[in-house]
Amino acid sequence: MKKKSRTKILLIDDDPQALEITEARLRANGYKFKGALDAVEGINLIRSEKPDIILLDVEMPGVDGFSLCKIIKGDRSISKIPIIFITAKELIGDVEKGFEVGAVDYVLKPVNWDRLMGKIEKLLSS
Amino acid sequence: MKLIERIKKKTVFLSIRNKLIILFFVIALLPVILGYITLLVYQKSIKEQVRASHFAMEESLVKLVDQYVVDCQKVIIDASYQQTIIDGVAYWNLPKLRNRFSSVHKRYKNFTFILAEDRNGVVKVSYPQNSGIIGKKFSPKVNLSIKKPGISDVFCSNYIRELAVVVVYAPVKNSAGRIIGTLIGGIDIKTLSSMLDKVKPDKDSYIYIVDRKGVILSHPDESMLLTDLSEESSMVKKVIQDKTGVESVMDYRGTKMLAAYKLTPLSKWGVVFQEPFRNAYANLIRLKIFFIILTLVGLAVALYFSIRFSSMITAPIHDLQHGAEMIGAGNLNYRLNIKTRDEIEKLAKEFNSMAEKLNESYSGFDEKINSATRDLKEAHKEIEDKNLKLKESDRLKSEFLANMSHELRTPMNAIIGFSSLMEERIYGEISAKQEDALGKIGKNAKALLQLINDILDLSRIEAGKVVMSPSEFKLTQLVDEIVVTMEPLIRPKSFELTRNIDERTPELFTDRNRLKQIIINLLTNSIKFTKEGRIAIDARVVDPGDKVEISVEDTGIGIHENDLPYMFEEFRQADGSSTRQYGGTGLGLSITKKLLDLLGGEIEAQSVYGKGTKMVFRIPVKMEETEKV
Repeated sequence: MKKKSRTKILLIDDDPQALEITEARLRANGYKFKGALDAVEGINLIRSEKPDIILLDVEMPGVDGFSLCKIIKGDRSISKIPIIFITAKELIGDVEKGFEVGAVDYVLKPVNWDRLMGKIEKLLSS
Repeated sequence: MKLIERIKKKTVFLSIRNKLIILFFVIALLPVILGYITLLVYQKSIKEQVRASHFAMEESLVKLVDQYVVDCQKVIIDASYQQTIIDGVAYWNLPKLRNRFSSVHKRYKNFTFILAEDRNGVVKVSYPQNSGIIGKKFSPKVNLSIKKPGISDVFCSNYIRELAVVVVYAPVKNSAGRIIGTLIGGIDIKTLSSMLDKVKPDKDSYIYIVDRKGVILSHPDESMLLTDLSEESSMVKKVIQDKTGVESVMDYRGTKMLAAYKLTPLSKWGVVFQEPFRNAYANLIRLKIFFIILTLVGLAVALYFSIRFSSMITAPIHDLQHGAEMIGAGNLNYRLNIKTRDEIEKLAKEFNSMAEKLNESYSGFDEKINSATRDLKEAHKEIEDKNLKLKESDRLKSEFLANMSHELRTPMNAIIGFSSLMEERIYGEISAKQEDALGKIGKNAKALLQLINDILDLSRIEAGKVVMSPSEFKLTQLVDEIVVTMEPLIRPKSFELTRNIDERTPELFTDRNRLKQIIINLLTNSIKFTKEGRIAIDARVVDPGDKVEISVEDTGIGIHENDLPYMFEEFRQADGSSTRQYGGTGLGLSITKKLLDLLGGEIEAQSVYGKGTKMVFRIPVKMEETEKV
């Protein structure tokens, strides 16, 4: 298990406030944080930074979260990185679709941080 | 007969026409039968009349014959007493006798010849002169009694030209009373016959005469003369026994004759008077023929009129039948034109008005059906349009919900996120006052979030977007799980939470998460409105094992009786202030009710204001697949 300070978590979300809050939370918990505002920026960052966990919003302009997830899963160099969807989108089939495209979890906004931190820790320890 | 064959073939159908014909014919036959009976009765009396008149003729004929013969006998007897004759015989003065005979012969035309015999039967003299017979015996067959006068039987003589001879004779006596000879006269039978012929009623009738032994002495057919009929003819046999009668016989020519017979009283000859049947009964036969012709004509006329009349009666019925067929076949414009001035004309009128009405109502029907079909098509199109619009608006609603959820949660995420960052001092130290304010921001934000979630829940249920996913589970386990979840809410309060799940409750097959949500909703309410006392969760099986009844009872503030009916409507908390006081969105119970609907259950609220509330709901132990939405 990597040291917490070396664990790099990346969030791709078109809402800058979400990036700000998440960065604050993750840093407060001792994780390294990288953020991107759209899919193109995000995929480049993933390829260059190789994060340990990817947090992914679904509703984004241009390439959405589900499509981006498929792209990541299609790229061998990064396909093993676990992905957690964090989204306000909660319609029938969305959660199922999230798991279908290869995510390990699906978290609804507003985020319950205690629970999310628990999930991240569990994921890293496995 | 064709009719009878038809009746035999199909006994079911006999047309009215044929029935009427038979009826009329039978009626016409009745007078014919009566006429025939009358005829039979009259025939008998007519026959009797005919026979009586026939016999009357016979009697007069008999009289004529007897008179003729008796006259002959008288003349000969008279002559035998004449002195001239006695003298002539006594001395056989032949010229004198011949002279005498001539005058007698001339005076009475009844004799063919007159002659005299001597005592030994030898002919001495004859008139007319017949030299062949003089000195001979008259006939070896005829033995005349010389003592008394008499009439001979019929016989044939070699010396007489006539085939059949009958003679009358009388002895001639001298003054001393001694028989000295016999006077003989040959009866002129031809004259008699022609005399009788004048009397007979027609030329086909004839009379024949037999002597007392039954031998024919007079007959229109000369070959029949001297024929002995005493054995051959029963009638002749009867007549010579002095019997009389009228009979029908076949004569020698094979013609049927009506015959009357009687013996002449003095000369004892049988007189038979025969008249051909057809002549005797001419009137009767004419009557019969007339009757038969009349009958036949009558029947023909009756038949003709019965057929005409039957046709007249049945023709309009045929028209009616035809009309019914036409209308039955759908030709509603068909009308009957019957002018019989009777019930059938009335019937035809009714029929026409019926057809009229049918026509009207049918055309009305068509109209109605067409317009109904048009309406239906329009309605169908409208429904399709509406359905399309509905689908569109449904899609829009789903889209709206998705956007709402996203658009509302995103700012809520920021509000809650930042306030919690500050409250947890991740952004640095804060004052007590700031912490209090941040706590209030977080609390309100969470309430708002709950409201958003409830509205979304409700909308989804109403939109039928909620999919039921039933599974098998134990109710006790679920309740345990719920109590554990609710523990943080219960702990600060000073009441007791009891649960009593009937152990006979079977495993449930329903949507576990929805049931959990229902119980949590009810429990949350009870916790919210109860300060102290007790909250009890009870469950038991009801409705012969098909349903499970679960109740959540509290000793909370209770609900006003007036408010009970509205409990399950949206945004209905007991009063507006309670939302501020107790929190909650006011949507919990209506969501609960809608979820119960989805599970096939029902809910009921019992409450005493100020004492507490009991919420009771029942759901099927096994959820029906159709309950899936």
